[in-house]
Amino acid sequence: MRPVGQANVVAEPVLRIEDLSVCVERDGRSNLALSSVSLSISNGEIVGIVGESGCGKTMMALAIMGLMAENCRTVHGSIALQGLEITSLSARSMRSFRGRRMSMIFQEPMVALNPLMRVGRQVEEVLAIHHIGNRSERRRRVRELFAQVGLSGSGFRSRQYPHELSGGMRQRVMIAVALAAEPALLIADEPTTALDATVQAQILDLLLDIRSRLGTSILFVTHDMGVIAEVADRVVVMYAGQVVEVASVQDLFARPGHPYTAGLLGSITAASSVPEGGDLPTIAGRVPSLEEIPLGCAFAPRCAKVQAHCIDNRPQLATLETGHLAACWFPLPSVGDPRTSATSHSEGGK
Amino acid sequence: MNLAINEPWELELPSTRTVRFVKARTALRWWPVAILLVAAFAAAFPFLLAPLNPDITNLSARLEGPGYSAGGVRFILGTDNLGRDILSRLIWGVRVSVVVATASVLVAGGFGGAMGIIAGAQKKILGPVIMRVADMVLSIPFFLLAILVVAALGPSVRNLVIVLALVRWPRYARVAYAQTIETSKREFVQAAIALGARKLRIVRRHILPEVLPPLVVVATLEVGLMVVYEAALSFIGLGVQPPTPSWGAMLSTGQEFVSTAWWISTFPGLALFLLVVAVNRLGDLVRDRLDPRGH
Ligand SMILES: Nc1ncnc2c1ncn2[C@@H]1O[C@H](COP(=O)(O)OP(=O)(O)OP(=O)(O)O)[C@@H](O)[C@H]1O
Ligand SMILES: [Mg+2]
Repeated sequence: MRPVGQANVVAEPVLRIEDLSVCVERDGRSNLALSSVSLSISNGEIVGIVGESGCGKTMMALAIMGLMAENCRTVHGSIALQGLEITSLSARSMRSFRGRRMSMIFQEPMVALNPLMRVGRQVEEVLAIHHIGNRSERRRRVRELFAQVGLSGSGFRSRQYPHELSGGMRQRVMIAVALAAEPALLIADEPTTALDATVQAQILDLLLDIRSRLGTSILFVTHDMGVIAEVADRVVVMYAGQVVEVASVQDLFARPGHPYTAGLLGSITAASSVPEGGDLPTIAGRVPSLEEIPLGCAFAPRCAKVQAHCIDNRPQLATLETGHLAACWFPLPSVGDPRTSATSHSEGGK
Repeated sequence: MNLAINEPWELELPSTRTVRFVKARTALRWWPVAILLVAAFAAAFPFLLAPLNPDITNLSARLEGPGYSAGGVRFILGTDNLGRDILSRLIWGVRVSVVVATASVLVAGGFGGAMGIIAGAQKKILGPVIMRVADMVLSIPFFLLAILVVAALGPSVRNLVIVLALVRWPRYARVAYAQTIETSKREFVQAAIALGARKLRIVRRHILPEVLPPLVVVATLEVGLMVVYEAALSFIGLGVQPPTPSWGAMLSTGQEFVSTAWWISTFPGLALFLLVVAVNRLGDLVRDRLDPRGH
C-alpha cells in the first residue's frame, strides 16, 4: 500500500507554492483566477488536486509550468521548485526546467502526441531537447523507458505512429515522454479522464509504480474523488481559485471538514448506491465564473450551512481539531469514530 | 487567358484533392515520374530528341498539317506559320517551360513558405508586417509589376523567374501562415513547449511537417499557372525573346490560326496539359508519402 506519513521528514519539498495569486485579463477587466493558493509536495509524494470544472486546477498546473496564457499573470506569491524560486526566472532558464525538472502529462494522449512522428522519436526528442546522451545512448534510453511504462510487450514497436496505438498505450507513451529526462515533479492534468475504466486503473497503477520505483513526486489533477482515493497521499480541494481544504486522503474521506468536500464525497458515495439511470445527488448550483466569485466565502451561495457571517468574511485555511486544514467558518464536526483515522493525524498539510 | 490572382479554385483545393479513388500501390501510380523524366531529359538534351532545327524557317512549307513531308524531310506534327517544325519546337520549348516554371515555383515557394512560417511564429510584430506586405503585393496588378520589373532589368529568363517569384510568393506565405497558426494551436505543440523545446526546434520538428504538404500541393498547381504566365509574358514580349521556342509563345501564335491550322496550338496545348497533370499527380503522391496517416 501507499506510504502515508512522510510529514516528519524535514526535507526541502520538491514543490512549494506560497500565497500564489494569478490574475486573468478578459475584456479589459481583470479577475483573480487563483487567490492566495498555497501547496507543497514532498519527495515521492502524490498530491491530488480536486475540484469541479472551472475551479482553477489547470490554471495552477500551468502556473507551475510557466505556461499560462498570455492574458494571465502571477500577481503575488512564490513557486519554489526544489528550493529554487521559479516565478522570476528568465524564459530561457524556465525552458531548461520544463521537461527536465518538471514535466506534464496531458489529458488527451491522442492530440498531445504528434501524429506525424513515430512514438520512439517523440521520446527521443525530449532527450535531444535537453542534450542528454548521444544518439545510441538515447536509443537505449528510449527502449528502457518503454519497458518502464509497460510498453515492451507484444504489438508495440517504437517505430509505430500514435494512430496505430490504443488509447492506453498512447497515454503510456505520454508518460514515457514526460519521464524521459527524469523530472523530480510530474504534473498529471486529468491523465485518465479520456480513457475507459479498466485502462484508467492500469494507468493509475503505472503512476503509483513509477512513484515507488523512481521516487517521482506527482501532482495529480482530477475532478474524480474516486481516482483521488486510488492514488493520492494527500489531497488539496480547490474551489473558485482557492484552496478550501488540505488533508491526507484517509482523513479527507473519513472526516471532511469543508462542506464543499463533503458535497464532492457525497456525490461519489451516492453514485455507487444510486440505481442505474437515477439522478446523482450533486451540490446545488454551479462554480462561479471569475467575475462572480463572492467577496466572502466563495462557496457560501451553494453551502447548506451558510450563515450571515460567511457572506461578508472570507475564511482562511485554519487547522481543524481533526488536524487538517480547511477554510471554513463553520467546519463540519467529525463524524464516525475518531479512532479509525487517528493513525494519520500527523499529516497536516503544508 | 485568365490572369486574375485569386482564382476561385484556389480556395477549394485541399478538400477536392483528398478524394482518393485508387489505393493500389502499383508501379503504375508513378507514371507522372516517367513523364517528368522525359520532360527533364528533353529540357536537358533537346538536340538528341528533336528531328530538325527548331529555328529554321521554310516559307514554302508554311502551315502544313501533321505528317507532311517534303524533300525527304518529315514534319511529324506539321509546321507553323513560318514553316518551322512543330515537334522540334515543342521539344526545344520544354526547356523554357520547365526551367522557368520550376525555378519560379522553387523561389516563390521557398521564400513565401519561409515568410509565412516566420509570420505565424512571430505573431506580435513581424507577422502582421509580413502579411501586410503580402497583401500589398497581391493587390498590385500582375502585368503592371511585370512591366516595371522587366523595364528595370531587361527581358531574360532569369528576370522572368524573378518577376514570377515576386508576384507569387504571397500565395505560399498565406498557406504557410495559416497552417503555422493552425498547427501552433494543436496540443502536441503545447506539449513540446511543456517539454522545454525552443521555438526553432518546434518549427523544425512540428510545424514544418504540417506546412510542407499543403505547400507542395499549392506548388504543383502553381507550376501549371507559371507555364501559362510565362507564355503570357513571352507573348507580349516581356518574356523569352524570339526565336527561342516556348510552349506559351507557340500557343499564342497558334491562336491566330486555330481554324486553319489547329496543330500549331493543339500540340503545345496537349504537351502543357500532360506536363501539368503529371506534376499535379506527382504532388499528390508526394503528399501521401509525407503523411503516414494516409487519409
Ligand atoms: N486564458 C484564460 N482567459 C480567461 N479565463 C480563463 C483562462 N484560462 C482559464 N480561465 C478561467 O479560469 C477558471 C479556471 O479554469 P481552469 O481551466 O483552471 O479550471 P479547471 O479546474 O482546470 O477545470 P476543468 O476541470 O474543466 O479542467 C475558469 O473560470 C476559466 O474560465
Ligand atoms: Mg482543467
